[in-house]
Amino acid sequence: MKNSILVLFCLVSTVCSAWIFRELPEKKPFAILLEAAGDNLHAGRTLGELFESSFCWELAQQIKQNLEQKKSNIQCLLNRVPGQSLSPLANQNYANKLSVDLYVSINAFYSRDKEKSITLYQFSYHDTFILKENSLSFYPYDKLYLINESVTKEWTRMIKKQLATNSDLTVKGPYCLPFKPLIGIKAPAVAVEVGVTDTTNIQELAMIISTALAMIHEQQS
Amino acid sequence: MKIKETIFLSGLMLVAAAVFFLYQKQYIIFNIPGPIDISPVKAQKKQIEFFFFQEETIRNETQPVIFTDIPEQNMHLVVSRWLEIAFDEKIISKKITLQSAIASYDSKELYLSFDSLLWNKESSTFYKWTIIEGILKTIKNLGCGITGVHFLINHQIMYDYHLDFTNPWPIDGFMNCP
Repeated sequence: MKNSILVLFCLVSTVCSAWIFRELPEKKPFAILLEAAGDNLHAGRTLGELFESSFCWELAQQIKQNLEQKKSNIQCLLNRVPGQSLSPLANQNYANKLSVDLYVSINAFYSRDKEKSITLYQFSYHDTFILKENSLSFYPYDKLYLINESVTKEWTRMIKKQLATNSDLTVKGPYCLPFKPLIGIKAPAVAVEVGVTDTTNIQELAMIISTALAMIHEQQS
Repeated sequence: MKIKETIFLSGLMLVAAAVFFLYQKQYIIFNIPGPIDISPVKAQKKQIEFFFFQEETIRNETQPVIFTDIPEQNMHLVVSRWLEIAFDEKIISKKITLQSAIASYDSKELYLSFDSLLWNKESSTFYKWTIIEGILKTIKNLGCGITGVHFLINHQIMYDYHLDFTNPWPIDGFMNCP
């Protein structure tokens, strides 16, 4: 009798210790790829004293800092470093190879009507059907967006809702159209086009955008 | 006499056979002029609605255009007129010429070739998009069965950093995209 209790105790304690010290699956960080418009060869539009490419890179850098400070489980990547020139579809290859969770394209133009605005875009060719992901077949690169179209739609609406809480900004969209920087990306992808005025503050703008992006991560976790 | 006739007929047959052979192999082509079609091109004055987007609102303007039997010519006239009105209304900042308007073999797709971009490189994506939407809505309103429009510059695919023109744009545009 005593022996059987001892065996039972040993068994229970082994199971308990195995459960306590079990190897927990490592939580994958939420990866966001921030694509700053332009590169070394394409300076983009002029925004007062700056060019679009340098403004967007600075903004993306600020967003990355804010997000990584706010959330430890967010991993932010930038598509380029200053002075780098990119080959066509380099951003798309980068995003698809890394299997990022969210792709954000950051663009900017000089707002002549002095209106601070953010316009949201998602890629669409007006094909309404949704593809089921199938690893055994090829997809044309311009149809890849269909895999995560519904998620993109949902997240873009969430970003808009969060951005709209800021009264200083006019938030337009989300609009679905063949927005070229988002072509060929498998992950949910959203483009942000900022209407810049002379009084635009990059830190402030970065804070607003990073708050909206952090909210998506919160909803996910 | 009989021999002479036989030789003559044989020679005639040989020449006829040679001509027939050359005709069959298309060395000889007969071009018989038919009656010249002198029926005049039916032209009529039509009131056409031209659509323009300003910010998110659409406005239209009705103007007369001379319409003919040739659909491609009509498209050319309408889009050229659209460009003129847009320039007058300061919707586009420079004079742009439509080089050609050509329909595909099944008349479902239209190829529009301009001499330059319809916007300047500082324009916002939204502004570029509304210009395209204005042209699409004007063409759609003509009701000519066109389902997609290819935008070209100097007969090459239109290049823009933000908008993709490699595929035809649907005639309904993207304004009503859910």
